[in-house]
Amino acid sequence: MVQHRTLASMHSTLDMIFPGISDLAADSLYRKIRLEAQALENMLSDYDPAAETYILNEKAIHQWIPVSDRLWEILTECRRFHVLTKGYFDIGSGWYKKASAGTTGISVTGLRLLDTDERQQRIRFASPEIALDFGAIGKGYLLREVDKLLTQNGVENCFVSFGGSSILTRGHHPHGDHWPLDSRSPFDLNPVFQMKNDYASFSRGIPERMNATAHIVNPYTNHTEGDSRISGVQADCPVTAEVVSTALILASPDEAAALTKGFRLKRAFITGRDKNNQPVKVFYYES
Amino acid sequence: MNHELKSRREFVRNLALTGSATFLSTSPWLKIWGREEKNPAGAGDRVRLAIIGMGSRGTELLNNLVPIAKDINVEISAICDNFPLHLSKALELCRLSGIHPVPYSDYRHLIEKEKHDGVIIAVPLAEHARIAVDCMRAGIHVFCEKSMARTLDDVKLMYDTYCDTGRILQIGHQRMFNPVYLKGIEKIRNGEIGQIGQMRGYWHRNNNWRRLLPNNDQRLEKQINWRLYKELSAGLLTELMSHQLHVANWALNMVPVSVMGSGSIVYWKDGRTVNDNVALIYSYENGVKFIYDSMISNVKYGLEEQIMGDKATIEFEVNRNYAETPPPVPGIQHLINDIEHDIFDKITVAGSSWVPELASKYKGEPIIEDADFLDIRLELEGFARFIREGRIPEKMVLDPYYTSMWTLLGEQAIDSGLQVSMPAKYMVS
Repeated sequence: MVQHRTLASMHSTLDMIFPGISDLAADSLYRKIRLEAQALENMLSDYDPAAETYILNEKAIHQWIPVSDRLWEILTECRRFHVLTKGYFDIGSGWYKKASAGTTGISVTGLRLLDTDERQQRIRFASPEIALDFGAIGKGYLLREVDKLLTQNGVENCFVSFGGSSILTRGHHPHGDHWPLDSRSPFDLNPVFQMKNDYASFSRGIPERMNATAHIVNPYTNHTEGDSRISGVQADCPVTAEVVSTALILASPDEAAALTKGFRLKRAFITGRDKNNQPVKVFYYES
Repeated sequence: MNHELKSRREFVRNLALTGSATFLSTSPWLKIWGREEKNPAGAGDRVRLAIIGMGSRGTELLNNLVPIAKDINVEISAICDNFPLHLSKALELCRLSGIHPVPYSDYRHLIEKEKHDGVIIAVPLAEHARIAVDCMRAGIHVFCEKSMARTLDDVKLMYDTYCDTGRILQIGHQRMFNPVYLKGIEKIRNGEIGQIGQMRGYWHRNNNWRRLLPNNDQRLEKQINWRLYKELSAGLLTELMSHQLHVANWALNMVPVSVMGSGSIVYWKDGRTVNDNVALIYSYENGVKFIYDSMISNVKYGLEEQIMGDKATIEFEVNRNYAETPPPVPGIQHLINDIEHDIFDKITVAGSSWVPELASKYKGEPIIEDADFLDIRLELEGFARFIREGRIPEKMVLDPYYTSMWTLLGEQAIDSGLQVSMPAKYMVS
């Protein structure tokens, strides 16, 4: 008996595989996860006019706006990640993403233009060229909440895929002692991540020449990266996995090596493309 | 036999042979394709069909019948129209197609002067009943375009005559033969969309719905533009909504118990007397509603019938089925299959093929992948087959009967501003 539930959330699909639990238990868990997903989206969406993030983006330009406790926690954590990733992880580049990709001549945007008032728990944008965008980390926060719900409901084994890019595992496959996740990294001696009570995140850069919507923006250049990179990270925290896989899309091999030391990771890789569009190894790390 | 005809027959034959009993009970006309005809091509089995009414719809039916007539062993024996221009154009069309039906300007002569197995009636709505009843009383099987008639009494008269004469009365709700609708109804009957909670339908156009008058002869206005005048038509209700109300009744396998509605002339204030804007709510015994609107001054939303269950929504016109929870991606499906078959293999949901951030929103799945044939031809072939068998499934008469009745009751609801139910004298089963 395996239960499968699917939830549309954050412009993606959350697939949940629960072996060995009843239909009723799966339904109950699904409802709780759906409520949590809705609550997070209601806070983090920069497209929903009723969401707190959307309202901040509209109102916080040159004026102080108070922030809810939960969003303040997330903002604080994101600012810490910003520092830990040498600025590559930046939730403040939303303005660029909403402008047409490839626009030139704009000044550097990002969290460095975010003023914070710790005492009164409020923020202000120092420039109109900043907007909050939690697209690179929202899935990690939802998976963190899913993890709590799994514990509360006594789920021992499960596999959760958020759009194929963010993976949560608990326990093991019913017919093995782990969940064998194939990363399909061509340069990994063992491309199968042996997942067991941990998380994986995969990110992909979009070259500007593809004329696609900006996805991961380099906060130092305001350009999307142009080498079709793919990064993968296995970690013991879903939020950490999201942050590092995003930053690795932008980091040089040396920067990647330094960056991975700041986090507790099990494995990380970066794959790029050469001039002949063949995959090339950029970086590989295993603890 | 041409490919299109073959694929059409294979499709319905397959449905007839493999469809569940529940599905076939609500679409019993399919069963005729599951039975082999003894000698369908024999001269003695040739079906002689006449067409009465050679306006735009009659001409379309002719154009669809001509290419398949030989394959389905049908002879187009006569054509009829009391408007000389329509008759002469249709005759020229027949001549170019190499067929030579006898022309008539009066349907009564067509009935009296020679033997036809069946007639196809495509005249203005208000004339349906008189001609259909006369034909059935003359022993001729009838295919009549929808809606059945202009008044409740005339609809009842057509049904009573069908019962009294034992002739076939087939009404032209062609969606009954459309592969998308058939597969969609099969999904509904098999429980794939779950419990139906609500149905919605709409048909929006942006034109004045007028036909040009020959030589701008105003005396022909009501003959040509009969759809615009209340004494001849219920306008959007009989000409458009009746198709979609039929689909709703078919999907729910029920008939309504009440209707309320509103309508007005909002945009085309050009002397017409039918509404150019209507909105109705049909209620069924189990509490489900069919919410409908139609207008002809904006085409943005086009036409659609939406059947909403707790597991999925079907949109027939765009051939889509939207699961409430989207189906798993292939890697997830593979994992589920592995677990269920005691297989421990790597999970390939992630990695270098991943592009979810740019993936489009869930757009549903097609109800049917390949539906490249014309329902109208299947509908006409069905008529010939029913004539050969000498009978038609009762449901094929009852469903259009109640659809026509409730279409006209919808008009009563709009005109009175009241919630309307069906008078007992019109209930027939």
